[in-house]
Amino acid sequence: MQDGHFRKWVMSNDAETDRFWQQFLNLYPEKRGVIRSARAMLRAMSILQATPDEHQEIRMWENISARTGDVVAEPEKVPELNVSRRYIWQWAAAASVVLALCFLGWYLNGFSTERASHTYAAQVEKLHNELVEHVNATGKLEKIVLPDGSKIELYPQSRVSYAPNFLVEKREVYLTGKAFFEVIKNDKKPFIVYANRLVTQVVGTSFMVTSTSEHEPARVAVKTGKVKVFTISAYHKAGNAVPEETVLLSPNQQVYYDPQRDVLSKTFVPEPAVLKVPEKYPEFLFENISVAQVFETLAESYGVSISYDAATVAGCNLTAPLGNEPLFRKLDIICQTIGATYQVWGTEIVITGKGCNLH
Amino acid sequence: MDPSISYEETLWDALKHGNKDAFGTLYKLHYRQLYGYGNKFLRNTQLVEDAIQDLFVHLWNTRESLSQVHNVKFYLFRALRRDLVRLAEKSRRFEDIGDELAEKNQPERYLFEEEEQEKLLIQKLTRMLRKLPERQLEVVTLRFFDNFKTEEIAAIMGISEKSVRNTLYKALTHLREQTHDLVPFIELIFLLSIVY
Repeated sequence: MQDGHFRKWVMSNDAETDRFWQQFLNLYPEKRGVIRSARAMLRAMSILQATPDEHQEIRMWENISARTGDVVAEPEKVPELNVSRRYIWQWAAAASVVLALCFLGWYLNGFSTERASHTYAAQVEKLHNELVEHVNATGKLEKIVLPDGSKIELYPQSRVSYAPNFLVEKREVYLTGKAFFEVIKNDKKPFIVYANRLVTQVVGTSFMVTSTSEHEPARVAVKTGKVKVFTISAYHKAGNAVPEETVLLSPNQQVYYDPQRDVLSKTFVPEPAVLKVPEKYPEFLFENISVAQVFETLAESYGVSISYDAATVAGCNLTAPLGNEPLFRKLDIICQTIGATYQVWGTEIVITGKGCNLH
Repeated sequence: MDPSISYEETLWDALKHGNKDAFGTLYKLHYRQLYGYGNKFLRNTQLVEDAIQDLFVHLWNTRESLSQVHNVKFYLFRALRRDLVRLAEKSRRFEDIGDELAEKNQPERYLFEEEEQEKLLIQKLTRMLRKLPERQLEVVTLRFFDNFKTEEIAAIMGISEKSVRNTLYKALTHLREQTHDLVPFIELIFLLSIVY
């Protein structure tokens, strides 16, 4: 078997059980289907495995943080780390991930704001009721076409408003509730969605905004194109100029807004879609392909960033038909096969493992 | 990579020196598996969450006196299990593995031989695994899912290596007996034989 993981398994021999299984090995020398069975076993086990959702992850970490004091440790107490040079890049990688995601991707806009004035109602009222308003009081999706041709799918119990002179300067929409936007591209006139305390700015793209009130967590998830999201306080900080504190979202990414802390956190959408069908492996059918190549294919197809160090995949080859499995299932299968684990840090997938070379 | 010092050991060392970033990274690397493992034998999500939090808080509070650890995952699993057993005894809520995830993967009724066979096998295995006694499932999970060695499993569960092997043997024999009607299981047996 080329696959390093299997070789590793062969190596970890255990005399007692080995004797018992040995006869089967003699009876069935063909190796056909072994991978399929391995996959089945691992998948059966992963079905039984409980996984925490991101809220649990964040909740646990918040509690841990709160109980272990401030994140900013007294620097004079931290001695020089004895890290040899070969690990510096790892540290740099770890540090940049930690920086970028700042413990679970939260980042403060560090701006205390008068919260009362950012509800949908207040925003709409400020505009002297000059707005066109759609309220979806039905139980079904409602489709709205804006004057510029952009489309909104408005969910039940949601409302949107926009100015009658929608096209004049900016394309601005006010939302409370949930809506999917398909925006016609217009570089000169950015399309802006105000959803309570979240501001989403795009040029041309499709995305979902969920924000039921200013006190509820809100979400923006991107299907195509690039989207910028601000907290309303960050958005207003520099007048209408583009503020420095923004979250830039690509397809398959989403941002959560935590109203209590007025912070945004960037993650993947729960089920990332294939953005680009891989040319070389159209069905994600890999036959004795290096795992580095497999990860590269996944990264490109799903538009995600997968990072690992060379040792993690050294000597690892994969044979598996990954087909239509969701991205994270694909990763489960690969990682189980090469004895690695993956973690999702915000919008980065980090693989750790020991590689498949025998020591 | 220098096999004597792993990335995680470097993190561990940094944690000992009060590096909170390293602490956060260790959490990120392990909370998911710890959670999965914890829920395996304690069907009380809240208790498991609490135990994981306590574990990391304790880690941080005692960081200066932590010993050098070669396998962080092993250390954390063992510590979590100890805490959970204590918690469970305290609240007398040691419960069986749940089957809330039970019929998530319902059989789909189209037949493409290979695919269908694999699906059937997965379902069957899932069912069989779920029926295993708690202890057997724990050993099987630690061995196959979490990739621990026999001696590590023994240390995590506080039992002898011999009983780990016996438990594994029992579990696999049970699986074999229950799955004999499925052709691909022959292949699975083969696979398992390689494993040992």
